[in-house]
Amino acid sequence: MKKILSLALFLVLLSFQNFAQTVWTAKASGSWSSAATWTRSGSGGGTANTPPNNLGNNQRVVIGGGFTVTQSSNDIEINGTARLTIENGGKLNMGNGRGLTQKNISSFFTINNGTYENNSVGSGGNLKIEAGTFEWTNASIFASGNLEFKNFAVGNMTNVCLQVKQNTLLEGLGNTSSYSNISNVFLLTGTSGSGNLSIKDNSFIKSNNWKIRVGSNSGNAEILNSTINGNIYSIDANDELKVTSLAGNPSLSIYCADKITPNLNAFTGTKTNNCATASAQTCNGIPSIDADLDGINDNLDDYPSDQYRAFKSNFPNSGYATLMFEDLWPNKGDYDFNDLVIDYKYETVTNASNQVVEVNYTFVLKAIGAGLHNGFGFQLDNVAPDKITSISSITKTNNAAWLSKNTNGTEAGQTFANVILYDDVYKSLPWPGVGNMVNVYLDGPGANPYVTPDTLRFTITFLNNGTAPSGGTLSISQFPSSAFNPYLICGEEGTWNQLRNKEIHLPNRIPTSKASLAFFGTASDDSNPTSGKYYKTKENLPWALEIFESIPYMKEKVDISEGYSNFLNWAESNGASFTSWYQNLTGNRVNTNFYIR
Amino acid sequence: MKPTYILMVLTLIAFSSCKKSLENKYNEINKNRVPAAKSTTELVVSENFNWQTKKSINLKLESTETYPAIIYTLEGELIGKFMVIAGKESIIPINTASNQTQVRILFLEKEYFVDINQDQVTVKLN
Repeated sequence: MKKILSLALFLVLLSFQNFAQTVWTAKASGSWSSAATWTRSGSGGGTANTPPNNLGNNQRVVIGGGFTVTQSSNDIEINGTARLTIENGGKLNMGNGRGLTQKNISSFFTINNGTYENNSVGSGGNLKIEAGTFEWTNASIFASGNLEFKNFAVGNMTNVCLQVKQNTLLEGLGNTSSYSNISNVFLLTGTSGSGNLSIKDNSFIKSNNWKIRVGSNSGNAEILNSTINGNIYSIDANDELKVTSLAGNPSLSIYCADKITPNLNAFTGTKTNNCATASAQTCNGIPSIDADLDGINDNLDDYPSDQYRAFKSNFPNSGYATLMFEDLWPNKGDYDFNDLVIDYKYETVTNASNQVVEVNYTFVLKAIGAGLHNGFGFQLDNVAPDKITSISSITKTNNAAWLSKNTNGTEAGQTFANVILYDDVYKSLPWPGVGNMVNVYLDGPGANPYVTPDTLRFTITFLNNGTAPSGGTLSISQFPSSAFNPYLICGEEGTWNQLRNKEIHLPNRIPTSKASLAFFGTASDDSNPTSGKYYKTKENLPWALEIFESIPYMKEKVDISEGYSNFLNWAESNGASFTSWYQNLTGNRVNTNFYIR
Repeated sequence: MKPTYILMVLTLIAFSSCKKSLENKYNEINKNRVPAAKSTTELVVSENFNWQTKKSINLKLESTETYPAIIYTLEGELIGKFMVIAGKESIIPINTASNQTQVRILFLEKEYFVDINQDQVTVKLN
């Protein structure tokens, strides 16, 4: 009882928290002050359609999705418990002379794969972290005025390019209990030609691979009364580098300074007068760091520490897709499309040469509205089995006599790569002992307890640490999503076995080498391999559907059109209208006809 | 016969003739129409009907610079990142929901809005 009360309290608090905050999320590139730029959720921080310039308590702004938001007429302040987040390719572009200041100890400024930019021609446009917390990762920052950290603001910078037109002042960055971390950071201060760097007033910094250039023509650097643990490379102070009361014994690699005060022999590191090396350091508006040297800068590299991987892309773009089968093929079914319901998604990992490195699959077996003990697998059309190095262990097969595999885990005897996930879906989503089938009856004589969906994750490896299998590499252009060709392997009537030669695919998808063509054109099937028509009736109806998002499925024996009100309208319009028939929009769904727990 | 009766008879004849003509027209229009299905069992669709709810497109990306292209839906969902190689056609297969009409490509700080109403679309970047 106590646990239930705690859970209820937690949920109430959670919902209150969501309600208590207002989040403005960029939905398009545009002006900060334009309602067309934002979508708002929550109301605890106000109900305006655009965020204020002075962000306060319970207010959050998120700029992502590759959108650029421009604030050209006002400065921005982050106050109270406000949060500003720039992520996922987003950019905050400040107008001429406009700046941003974070002012409160509870405020938060996050950049993760994003850009803060002020390219003002004139002066002004300071970026000030006067208090609070910052987390900047894979970020590009350009301030047309000064960059300032004060009052023991605490945060982390990793893989950050900082370009500051004027001065950089670290006057109290970090504190004794919370050092600020600076790792893989290039700081160029004084892009206007001259500019100074000042690290002082009890700053506490842990650094690693921190490169600093001060002034492209002239500039002084001073490090006073501060503690720096770690190293600083390439300090290029065009004029004087002054260091006093520097604790932490950092390793300084000083390449260029006209004068160093005092003598730095007490510190470890190198002191050379190599201004050419120092001035060669640039960041060209983006983090120029490519830690794994694969040719993709870290801010764009999904795997910045892995030279064999660069990017990942997801199918579908977010969440899961749904596969729904009728299993009486070649006879017509009842069109409840719940004989087998599986959600799936996959993440394709490619390298800097657009070759497929690996694909990470997730399948969620949700319902069996069938008496037959069907199996399930997929083919990768036009991908030869020897293009695959290995498949990580799939634990959902149970040594069915009909299943034999190649050493790389693909099914033996196939022209294209085939992966068998379930040789009997009932063994992974078991009948609960009462009622009929699994997760398709909510009430009536067939009703039975809910069985938790079975989740299966595995990886198909194409390139192993850059090494291709005997079949060679696979370019992403040879691996469209249409290569994914899922199918149901029909169970045998009267037994718990499967008929490996009887497959049901999505409409117009080709069968595998194991499928018997003898079923085509029998009963209700009107497949014609010569014309490329597969797994459709004379009326061109399918036995399987694939939906681009995860959708609820039908109760047993309820026609799909009784749950999806515009399904028939969509089909009868030949796909011209009601293209969102499956989405949760007004008028599309009759929820009482779905199996929803 | 009084003129009123003659007028009535003529009106009835004209009405009957007009009704017949409208019926013929109606039958002509509907003779090939399949009645709206009340269930999926009654549904009939054309052979070229696309049951897909996803759209798969090949983007042919061309540029004089080698740099990653980031592809988003108009709503800002990330579709994927891919390398564009200078001087070469980079063919990138992408997917969106079938009711999407454009994608947005970020390349070297510029954004490109690309119509995706064909199976293959060529995009010149910079």
